[in-house]
Amino acid sequence: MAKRIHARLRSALLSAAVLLAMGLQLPAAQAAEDNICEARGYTIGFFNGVWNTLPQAIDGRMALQELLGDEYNSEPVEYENFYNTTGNSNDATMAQDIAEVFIQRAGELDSSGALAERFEYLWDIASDPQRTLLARLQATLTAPITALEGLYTAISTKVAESWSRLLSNPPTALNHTQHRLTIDTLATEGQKMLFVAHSQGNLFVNPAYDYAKTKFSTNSVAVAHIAPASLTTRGPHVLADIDAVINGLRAFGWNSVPPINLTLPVSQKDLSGHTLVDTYLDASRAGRARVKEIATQGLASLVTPPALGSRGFFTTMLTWDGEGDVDLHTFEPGGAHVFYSNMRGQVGELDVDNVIANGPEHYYASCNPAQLQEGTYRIGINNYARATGRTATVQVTFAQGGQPVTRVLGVGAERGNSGNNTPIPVLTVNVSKDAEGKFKATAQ
Amino acid sequence: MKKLWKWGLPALLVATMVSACGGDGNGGNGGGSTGGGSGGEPGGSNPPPVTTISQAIAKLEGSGEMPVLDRSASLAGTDANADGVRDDIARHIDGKSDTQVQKNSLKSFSRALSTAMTVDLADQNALRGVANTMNTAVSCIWKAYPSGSASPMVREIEKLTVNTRARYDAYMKFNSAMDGTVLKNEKEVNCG
Repeated sequence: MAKRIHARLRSALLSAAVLLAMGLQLPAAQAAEDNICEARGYTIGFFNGVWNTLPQAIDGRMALQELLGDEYNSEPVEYENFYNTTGNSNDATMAQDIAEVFIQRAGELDSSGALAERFEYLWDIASDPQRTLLARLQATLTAPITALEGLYTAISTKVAESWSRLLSNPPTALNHTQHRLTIDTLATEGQKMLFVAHSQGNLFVNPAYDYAKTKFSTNSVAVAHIAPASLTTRGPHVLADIDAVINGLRAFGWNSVPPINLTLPVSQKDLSGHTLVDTYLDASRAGRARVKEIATQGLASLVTPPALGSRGFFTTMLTWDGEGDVDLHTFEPGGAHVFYSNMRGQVGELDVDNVIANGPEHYYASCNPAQLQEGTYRIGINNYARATGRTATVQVTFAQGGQPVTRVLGVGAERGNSGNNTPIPVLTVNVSKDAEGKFKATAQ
Repeated sequence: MKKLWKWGLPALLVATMVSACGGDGNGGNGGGSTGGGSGGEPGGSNPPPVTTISQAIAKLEGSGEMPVLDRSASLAGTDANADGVRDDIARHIDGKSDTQVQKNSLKSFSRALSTAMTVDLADQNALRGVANTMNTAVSCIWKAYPSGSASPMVREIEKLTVNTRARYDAYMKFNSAMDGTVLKNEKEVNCG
């Protein structure tokens, strides 16, 4: 142990000296040119609403980005989807239930089967607030078929049933591994976090916020709730009087729904008054300014936390589920082996090491293109001591954006120093330059 | 109270949604550049009445107001030029009066959707690849279209591409597999 602590101290002092020297010697502009990563700043995490597909959730995130911009208080703002589906079984049985309802009701309305086989109408009903296809169908008929509205009602009811099950038993803990690891990484790197949740996302944002709070001794995470159905909130909210979905809950005695604090005119853009893009972010109505106000209020409240680790072109976080000492090993393309007794490599550094319990351990690859190496980085773990039976989680995140790579695995038998040169392989990261000379990273 | 959630919420939503569903006979201008409702036809003899849904669908598709979509059994559908975009979707997009950059962004998104329907759900790397492609594709639509126009385009291409039961089932399984994931905005969006 004494050997390890000595190695950590030596490496930390070396890092501090290098950083100090860089800060003193490099003009700011030059430092920026040498940095292909985003500087520390803000991350806005978006928790999507009910029945959002992944593209719809990305669309919501883009709408937030358009509203809030890429910079706040002269610091960069990044955006992340914290994606949740409605009905999270991997066999998608709830989606199948909705499909069955569509087929059955469409068959009742149109015995030819033409409508039932056109699933674009199901999407139109389930996720287009203007229901453009259904409206066009009605407009084409010489006399509107009022029963067509029953199709919309049947599908909406089925979606609502699924949602109501979730509302009756909301998540109380942050169960998604990737969500948790992302918060761990952001906190370790000293990133301020604002979570923005819409609709169903409010049920998931509360445990995420509660978890993130445990990572900071400073006020560095905040929440903005949009159309919350959650019984409790963790920050300011916006709820429109025309939101038929959320306000409907109150009419049935569910008085814990947060109060209405926004008056909006009804619009044909979204007859439900509930969707993120077409009601709350609609450019022609006041909801957009209110959302911006509470989000900005959240950003303004955040304090920059101390950073335990640096941001990198890619970073690797290792955590495990209890006591013990599990080590993160990185073999860089140039041959450097970065781990607790050699914390600085040719490219990156193990800047967070844990020998007690849970982790984290954190490696980052340099953001300096002159230092970054093309090639394969091999990532592994070793159960150094007292961690037998534990489960490790390794997550690689990328400065370029996209989805992190997450692996969950057993830590294996305790191997001490004998495992240093042959850690359990976890994944590889490949760094290359594209045709324009820009670095890209992939992992598998 | 749980019973209230179980029965009260759906019932209430039915009421609000039924009342909400009556408006907007013009249907906005969704569906991109495919035009609005039919109304009367100018001059000549009176058109035959359109009294059934199947007649309305036939009229919309016959007139080109709605695209005639591939409804074959395969998830990928017909893609004669093997560019990853179903031929019917490509035709629909090409028929728009949008710019080439805008059309390309829509095709890229449709291509990503088709990939999502056919990806091996047990292959974590492949799933992540599709998610990243989806991230880029939606970002490119936002880059190509003016404010307020991107979201309707995302919805239109999604509904037209995922247009059969088999495609819907496969696509929803992909989305379920994405549950709990994180997706970061791209630092530099390369739309090709």
